[in-house]
Amino acid sequence: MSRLRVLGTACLLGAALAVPACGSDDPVFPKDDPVVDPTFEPAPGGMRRILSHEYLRSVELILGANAAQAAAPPADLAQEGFDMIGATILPLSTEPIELYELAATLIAEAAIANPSTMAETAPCVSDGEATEACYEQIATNIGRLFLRRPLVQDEIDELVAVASFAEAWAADEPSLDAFEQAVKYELMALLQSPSFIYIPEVGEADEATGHQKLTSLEIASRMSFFLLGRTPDSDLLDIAEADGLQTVDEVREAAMNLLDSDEAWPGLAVFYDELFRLRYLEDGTPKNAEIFPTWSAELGADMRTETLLFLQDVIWKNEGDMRTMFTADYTFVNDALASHYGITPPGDGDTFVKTKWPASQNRAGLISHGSLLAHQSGSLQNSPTKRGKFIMNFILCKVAPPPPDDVIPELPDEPDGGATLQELLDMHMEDTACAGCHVNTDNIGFALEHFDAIGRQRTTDENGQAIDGSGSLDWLGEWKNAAELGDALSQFEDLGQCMIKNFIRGRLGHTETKGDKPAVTELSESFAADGYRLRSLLAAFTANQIFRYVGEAK
Amino acid sequence: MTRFKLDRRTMLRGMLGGSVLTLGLPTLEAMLNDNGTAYADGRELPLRFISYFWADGINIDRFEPTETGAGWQLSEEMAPLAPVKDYINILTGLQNPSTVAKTHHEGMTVFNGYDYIDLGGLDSDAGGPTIDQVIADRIAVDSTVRAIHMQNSKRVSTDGDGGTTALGMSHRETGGQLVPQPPQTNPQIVWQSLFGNFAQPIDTRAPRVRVLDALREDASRLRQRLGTVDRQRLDAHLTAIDELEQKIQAVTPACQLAPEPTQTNEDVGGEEPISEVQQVMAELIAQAFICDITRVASFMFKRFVSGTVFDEVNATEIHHSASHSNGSETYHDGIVYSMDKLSQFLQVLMETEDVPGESNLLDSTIVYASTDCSTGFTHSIERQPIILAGHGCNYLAHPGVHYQATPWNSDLGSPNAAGSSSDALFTCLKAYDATATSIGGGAGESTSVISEIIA
Repeated sequence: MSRLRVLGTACLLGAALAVPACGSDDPVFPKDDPVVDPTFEPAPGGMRRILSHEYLRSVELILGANAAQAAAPPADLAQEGFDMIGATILPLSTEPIELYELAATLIAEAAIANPSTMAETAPCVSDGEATEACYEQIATNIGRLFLRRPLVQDEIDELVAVASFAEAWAADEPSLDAFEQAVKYELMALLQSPSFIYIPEVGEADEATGHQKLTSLEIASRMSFFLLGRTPDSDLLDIAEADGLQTVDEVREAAMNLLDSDEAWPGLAVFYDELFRLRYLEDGTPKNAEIFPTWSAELGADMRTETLLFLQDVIWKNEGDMRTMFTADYTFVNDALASHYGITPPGDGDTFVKTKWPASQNRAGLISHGSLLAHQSGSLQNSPTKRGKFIMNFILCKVAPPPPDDVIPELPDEPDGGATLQELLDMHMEDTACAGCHVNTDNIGFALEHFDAIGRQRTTDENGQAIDGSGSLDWLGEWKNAAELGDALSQFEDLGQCMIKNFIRGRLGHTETKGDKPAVTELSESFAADGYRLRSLLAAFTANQIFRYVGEAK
Repeated sequence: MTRFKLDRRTMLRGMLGGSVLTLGLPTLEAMLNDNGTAYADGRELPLRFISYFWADGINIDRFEPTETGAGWQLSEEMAPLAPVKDYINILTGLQNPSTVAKTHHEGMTVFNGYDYIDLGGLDSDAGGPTIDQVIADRIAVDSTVRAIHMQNSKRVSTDGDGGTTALGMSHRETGGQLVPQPPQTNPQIVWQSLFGNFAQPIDTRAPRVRVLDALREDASRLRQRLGTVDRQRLDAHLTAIDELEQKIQAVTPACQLAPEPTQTNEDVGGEEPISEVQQVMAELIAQAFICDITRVASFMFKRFVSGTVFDEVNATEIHHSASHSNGSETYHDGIVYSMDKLSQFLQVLMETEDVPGESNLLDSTIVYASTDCSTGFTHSIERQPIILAGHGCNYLAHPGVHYQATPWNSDLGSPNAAGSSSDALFTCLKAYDATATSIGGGAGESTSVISEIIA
């Protein structure tokens, strides 16, 4: 019912909608075609908070770059390793609500100081005439972009009332322009609106499946945030308001259009920045200055850039096989990073240049990047366990449980004649309570021992012992070095599934459930059939049942 | 329309500028009654509370004082607290009553008296409201700012600890749910929360409040579409809007407002400005107490398992990593440094006059300080130490005592602790609510006061 109600409202507004008939149960709405797997149980519907980068990208779209640069919304709060999961489950304390108000003030002030972007959507702003008609235009046109749907008349009236109140208030303040203040407070009401800050995804009861099917407007919103990291633009809302995002083909076509946008990669880069912990490279990866005097925040930032450029090249620009991210024999370096890695600087200063790894370093793909090697290490030395655990959790989606609570986190004393860290950890693994996990994490981590805690190649470990990077695991294969481990990862049968699960966690906001399994299986099969291409995966993802249905609102 | 006339000068010394640490009082009759519990005109002195967290434990044999009772002497690791020693009651040998454990998370039970809710892996949700929130429920209903939550080191858990337990040290029970209160690391934003509203060049209260009314309308429409959990989340949002309005409408206090600090807690050359931030944060909270803008705060010196390196004492590695090396001097140095920073914080309170010539802020405050384990190396929660600084208007012993629940015996196996750390929580709560009957829940519930530390 709510879909029809929304459409009815849209018609009342007389907005430019290509809707042939309103409120009638007519055949212009194509019925859904696919068979939803009977064992599929969607995650609960509900509302999630807009992430800070989504908030800013939305502000930029609606009010312009100056407005987006004026303030920062309150910080995201991660849960289960992802901001989106925190955004889905956490209630907010008072401080972030205050910070939303502060951000709204600064953004609205910037928007009225430079109204050109806003005027594209609400042309009356350029006239500068304080009229209720203009406040209504702002509410209707700007409000639609913030709230991702047409506003109902009560909402428009309330926003107009806020603007009129501010106009009257400002009339007593000689230093203030009444119209500007009216617009400012109207924008502040939109920027602080719970309907902007929270994104409801509750759907409508769908008899065919027994689930809640997201409305076209909810799909438009979910798809735009998922693929571009911002509120849907007017074109996509037009499609949604005509209920044009209900069938698989409709959703897929709209998704492909968004994926052609220049905004698609920057939105995805945020996803990988979080997933691979790149955002902690600059100020969350401390190193001992005596042991690693060349380490700096700038070098960390370069490593972050390296990985993002590499991913963009491998999985986006060239529409390559995503498994190549573990096998590629090249990376991107500037002169400083090349020197750090011990390879010939490309000679372009700060510019990053695609560069082949020397075969002698046995590096390949993401796991040999300084970003992963440095962040997944201690400040003094390597941690094969940490590196292995990260790969287990976020690349292979295999959970390594925490150590038993009575564990004494100490390695055995070095025997006479010394021992490598690997040998010491091997002794540690003789304890059966520890072995279950460490056999996996440490075996994987040892393959990266040829690289120190800031990602440089080395031949001996912290104890001066020669490094043996070989290892094997029944379920993963056998390797002699990092490049071979990368190859083993790329061939891991559930690798594609893990990439899909990471999108469920980082973009849909829940850790995958048993009920998601049919969707994950279906997606991983089509992912493999399409040659593991990210663009195809994302289009398939948005058209899949997991994206278009939710359970009862939580 | 009234305009705020603000005097942006300050008399605060130190990071906030100025030269003399004498603060103007908002009171006209700044004299106390004979008992020191109220102003001479009968109004009660504001009683304040701060919970304070330092991370990753201590070395029991170098931290616990040897002597007990009134004649205790500072231990090696507590030595930096010498300037404020008279204001300290130290509690050792207590058992943290948590019945669950996964390392570090269970240690936070000393701040709430509840077992955490296990989420698997290194994740857990807090099991109940923390002491600062329980006290705020009693004393901060009418405060301009109900409670302020601050954090110094910005570093996060290097092991990915998660759940609401790892989001901070304060959890508020409201509307049938537990709302985490994540601490703020940027002193400018802390200032904004405490003083920013009083520093507006134009009185914008009317249109701001009008906007908040519109938000309530919007929320009620949104609410109809949601399920139970999300309705609770939206209710928390509405509670926050109410509190924001209360703050917007608050009358500017008749005191010297702190100026906006320049410190934003950004790294300098890859190092965190820990001492500078400690000073600014302490001065902000001191000034907010003096202006009676708030009466409750929590302060997280650093998060547990965080990647913090104590560069100022030339630490060679992450403090938490050092805690995993038995007998590490880097770890020991980090504990001494942590106590030095606690001391710095407390000294700001002590040097801030509350009633001129009569009292300072440690006289009217209780600072409940603890950590997330005893021995960092083993993650043990037996003998987690608790430092109570300030006597809360003559409620706690002053000069303070060393209460030891059971003597330390390094040869003794587990258990090597007695009583319950929740008794310390309950003892503090009674200072703010004499009618309180318990705190915490389950095995962590306490109904017992530690009489040895009561004045």
